[in-house]
Amino acid sequence: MANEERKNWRRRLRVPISALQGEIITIKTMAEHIMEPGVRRDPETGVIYPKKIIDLVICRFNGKQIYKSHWFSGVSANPFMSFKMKAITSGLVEVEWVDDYGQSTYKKAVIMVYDKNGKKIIPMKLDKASSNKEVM
Amino acid sequence: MTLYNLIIFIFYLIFSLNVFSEEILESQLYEKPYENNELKSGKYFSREETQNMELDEFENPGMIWVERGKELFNLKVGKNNTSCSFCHKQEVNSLVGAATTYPKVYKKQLINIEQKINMCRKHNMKLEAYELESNNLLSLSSFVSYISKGMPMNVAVEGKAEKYFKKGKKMFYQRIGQMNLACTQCHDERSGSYLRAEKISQGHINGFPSYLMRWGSIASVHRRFQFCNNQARAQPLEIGHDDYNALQLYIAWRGNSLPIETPSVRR
Amino acid sequence: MYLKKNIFTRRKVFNFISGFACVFSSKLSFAENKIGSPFRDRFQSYRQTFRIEPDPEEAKKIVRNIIKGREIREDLIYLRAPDIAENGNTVPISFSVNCSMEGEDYPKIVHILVLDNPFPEIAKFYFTPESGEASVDIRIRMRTSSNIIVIAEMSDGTVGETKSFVDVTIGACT
Repeated sequence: MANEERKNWRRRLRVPISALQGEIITIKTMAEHIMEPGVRRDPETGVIYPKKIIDLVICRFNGKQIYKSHWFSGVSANPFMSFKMKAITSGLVEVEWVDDYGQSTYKKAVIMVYDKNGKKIIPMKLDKASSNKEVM
Repeated sequence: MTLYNLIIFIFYLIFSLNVFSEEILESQLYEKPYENNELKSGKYFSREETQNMELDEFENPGMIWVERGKELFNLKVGKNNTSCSFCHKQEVNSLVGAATTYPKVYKKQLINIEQKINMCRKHNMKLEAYELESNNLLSLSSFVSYISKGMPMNVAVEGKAEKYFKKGKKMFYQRIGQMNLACTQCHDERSGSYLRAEKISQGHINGFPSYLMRWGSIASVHRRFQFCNNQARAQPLEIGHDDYNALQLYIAWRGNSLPIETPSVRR
Repeated sequence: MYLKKNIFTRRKVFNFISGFACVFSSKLSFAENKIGSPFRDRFQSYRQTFRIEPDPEEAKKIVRNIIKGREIREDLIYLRAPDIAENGNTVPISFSVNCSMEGEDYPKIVHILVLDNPFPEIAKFYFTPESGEASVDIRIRMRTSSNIIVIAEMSDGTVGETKSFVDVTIGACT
């Protein structure tokens, strides 16, 4: 039953829907993966199950990497990990799980960030108006 | 035959009759080992961290299978483009509360949820049945149990199910294996005490199909029975065997009125 | 006078001695119970896991290479791990680094190690100032009762280390 060939290995991600500016939010992730360490044997034939683990977990916010984690064979099967992020602007949170065979899967979620007055903060930079009063 | 031999023979007859009279008396058939207020599900016998893992729906690893089961329930397959949700809608013929009555007798056969799902697929949806203990079947069966979460177990043991109930009860009290252990010795008489470093639970199955940490995936009741038999160094039966169904009926009756807790996290 | 049949022909004697030598020599290697003997190792480890024994010297070398002789700050990391793990396959632990995450005061790399595992390194975490707080929950595997060591390398060059002992026990049904 180990290392079965199927395509529906699930990934889960939970990000709060909204947050205040400056609040620290918790991002929870869980992956369905067998995390085979490469030392177990099949009880009937004696063949070692080959090593297959998730190697690298990257979290990006609006495209910029904010958190990275390397895993080795000591992480348990169906691994759960939760980490924190500071909410500055609204945007897209994306978590990517990379296998040690190079296969990668990802999951995305959107978070809205409001300031004290209840106005949504959008990830945009506005240029300052120029001081010289040249009119076209 | 001398007189001495005759006396020995008579004693032998008396003792052998004693062995045969281990038949359960009619009056004791429905005697429960635990009163209703003494029933404790397996959750209370595990440590705090494991209980916390089970409480939160996101952190519970068994929910992976429940979510997949929900997708499979709504997935349209086959030539007729049907899915389980075609017949079992939420207003009409919904499956809420169905898991509390299994295992039950259907067309002169005692079946549990997994076998019923396979029957539905073969006869009603005209698709091929899932393999027992495969991922898809376990996902569907845990989803069906999950939608009845919180409802008390209520299996029926009168009437047609009575002979299976007697068989199950006999199996529960029978000593098996090289270690000569019966289920009742640990789970009735010594529950709550420690066996090496593990607290013995009362042996209820209201949390099944549950996520077992030793295998890193969801397991059905029959696979857990196989493991118990292996530990007593007895020969395990195959998954889906009729004797395991009878034993499951007895153990489910034993835990009647406990709420369903699928998917639970056990060691 | 009739010829006495010789029971012990040369053929019989030769066959007997060579057979005896074969059986006796194979019996000798069966009887040897030293590690490295092919019969003993193959039959004993056939159905077990491939036991890589943890090397304590190697594990201490890994810790030394991470710390690199710097002074260890106590009270930098707050580690929470159970006293007794229910099952060695899933031990939920959580740590949190006590720092402000501004400027240069954030942990660049945090290592988790379990020295009695066959592969001592468990995970490495890389933080940035946008993380807000360097705190992580994770579930790890432990083979026997041992210390969990968390080492944090801060961005300004200092190092912090915390240990916690976790008992991993064998239950009734292992």
